[in-house]
Amino acid sequence: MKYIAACDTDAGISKYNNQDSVCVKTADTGSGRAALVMVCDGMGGLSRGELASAEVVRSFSEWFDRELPFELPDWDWETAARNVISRLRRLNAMMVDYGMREHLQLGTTATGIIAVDSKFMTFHVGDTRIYKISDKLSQLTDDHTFVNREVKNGRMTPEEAKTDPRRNALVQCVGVTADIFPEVKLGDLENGANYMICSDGFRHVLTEKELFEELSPQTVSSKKDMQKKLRQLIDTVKTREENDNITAAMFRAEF
Amino acid sequence: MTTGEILVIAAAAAVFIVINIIMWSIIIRKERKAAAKETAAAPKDDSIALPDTVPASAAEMGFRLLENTVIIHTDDRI
Repeated sequence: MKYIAACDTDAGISKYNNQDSVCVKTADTGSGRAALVMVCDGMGGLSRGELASAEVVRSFSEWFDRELPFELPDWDWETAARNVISRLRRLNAMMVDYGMREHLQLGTTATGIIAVDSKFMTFHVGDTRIYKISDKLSQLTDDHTFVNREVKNGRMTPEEAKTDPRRNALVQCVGVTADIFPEVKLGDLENGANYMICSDGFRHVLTEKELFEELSPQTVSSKKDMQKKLRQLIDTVKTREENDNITAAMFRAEF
Repeated sequence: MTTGEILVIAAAAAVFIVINIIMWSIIIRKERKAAAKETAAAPKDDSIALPDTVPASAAEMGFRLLENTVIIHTDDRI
């Protein structure tokens, strides 16, 4: 079994600093493979977004290095899912408390994949997306945005949502509200499929057709391909005058 | 219009132009200073490297990082 992963990030053309954080880790566990791939998009409108996204990425990164090796002998996906939800809720409470003490508002999305051998879990809060790209492009996460909720409840059409001034408003993200309800899904990895996690800055000005064509498993199959394509797409996004920070990570399992 | 009046208008125009030149050169100098200050205080877009933190006991169990990329943009902590 082989895991391949890569990531790239860019402050973009108009933001002064990059508030996104990204993490790509793969490991030989002694008996198989494990991976953590995640993207956190620090909130542009909120002060210290880069601190919020860095704190979440650090927490998961440290878990992967220090705790996962000892959890693997008794690995259980249901327990792992509960632990991820607890970790995100703890981080949320810590940030809300910090914000109140320091009179700051900080927030971040938190979306990622944890893989162990041939199975995986997605965790998600906010509007960062996970796509699976195999013979088609599928979105594995649900945007936690106001307009998406309105569309789901039948109060807005998808067309109205695209132009609604509230289209970027999140209904939940880490660090802003008293509690969060992370979305966690379990699944089997598809051999040779590409999984892509991206901030909204990456996908806003790219069509789904472009994402599928540029990142299909036939086009992108090695780490070098991933790095090259992600940079190429980031450059395309910048030429289309996207104003946000731009971040994406890719992951692929071969067995 | 007498020659005296023309001279007064010309002198006033000259004073107006001199005042404008001085005022704009002060504004430009101040703006340059502010821009330089802003650049110096800009947060770095460089990623901050985190150390490999796999404990020795985990390494003994056969746990080994193959890929370890963590990109964050601040070393501040909460």
